[in-house]
Amino acid sequence: MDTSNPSVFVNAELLRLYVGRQVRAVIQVVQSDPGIVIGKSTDDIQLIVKGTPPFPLTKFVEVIGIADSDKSIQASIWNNFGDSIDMHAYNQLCQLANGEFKHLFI
Amino acid sequence: MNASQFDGSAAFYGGGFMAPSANPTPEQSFFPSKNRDIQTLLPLTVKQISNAIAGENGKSEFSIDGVDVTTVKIVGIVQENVGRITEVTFTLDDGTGRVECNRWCQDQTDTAEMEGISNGMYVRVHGRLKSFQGKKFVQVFSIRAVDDFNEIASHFIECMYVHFYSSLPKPQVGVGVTAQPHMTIPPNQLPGQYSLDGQWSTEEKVLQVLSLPSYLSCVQGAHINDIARQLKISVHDVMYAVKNLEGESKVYSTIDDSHFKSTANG
Repeated sequence: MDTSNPSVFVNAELLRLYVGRQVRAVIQVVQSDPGIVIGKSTDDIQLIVKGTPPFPLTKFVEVIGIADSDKSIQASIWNNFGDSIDMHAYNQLCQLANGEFKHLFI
Repeated sequence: MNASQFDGSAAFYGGGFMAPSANPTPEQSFFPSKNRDIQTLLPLTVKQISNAIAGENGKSEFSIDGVDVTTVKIVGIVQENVGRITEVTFTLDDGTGRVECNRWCQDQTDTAEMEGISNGMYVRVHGRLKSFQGKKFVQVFSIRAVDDFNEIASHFIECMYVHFYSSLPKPQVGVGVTAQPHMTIPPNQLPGQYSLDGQWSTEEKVLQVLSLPSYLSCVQGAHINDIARQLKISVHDVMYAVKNLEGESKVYSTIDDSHFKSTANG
């Protein structure tokens, strides 16, 4: 068992609290260029994801990587989440996982 | 029993995944010391599993939030998937931590299930939490690829809900506490009802007083005035709560309409 390097559920607002640490965020892809993907976070704020996904992205994508600023993530893992995801539920999860129930996650 | 047919209870028994229904007698003889009451399927994060403490009463190896843990449900990403002839081992990373898992592949069904699983894939795992030489691992009964990704958020919300529910103060009624389900029934439909802020309802408080050994052991039980005095609430409120409890068959009147006793242990 190893819990030393969790990836924290974040939206754009929470991202700034974890700069330099591993995070995971679901984004709605807005624009995908080589080396850089621009997307909207679950709280509807623009995020920059650095890195090149190894496959074509669906509308919603989970990225896991290091938060390198309060608006950007250096992605190491990309997971296609398909074309319909309940972004509101995911955003609520981000807030609960960093609030009242933080001890279950990090 | 026809060996060529897939038998669910035989395939999963020992894990508490399915209650053995067809022929319980031989199953019990395999695990005579296991208590089937505690074999609920608990949704957990890996962080919770890593913080699990040793079981409190020897019925299970682990305890989380005061609940005995045997069968767990985890959703995460498969890593380091290594397949051997009779066993597949992998690490499951759910974002809160990583836990080692192994899956015995004894027949075609098991092998087919594992062949669809590869590194980097999101899966839902059901299995038994075990430890070997102080190291926790999950012995997997069932592994399914996640195809609707809302399931990830849903799983973690369920983890929080079950943790919240299990962390509420438990009624000391003596019976039925460990047998209550932990996930499917909303708490407001359970007979022992709490308000959402974690406070006891008047009914629970009254039941606690009636569960005191001094009242359980005497024939007439407790007088409502005594209950009201102990709880520092009005006799009217106690009467109201007692009527509700009587309706649920949790208390009964004894020598007259003012004396009541708990039906638990008595």
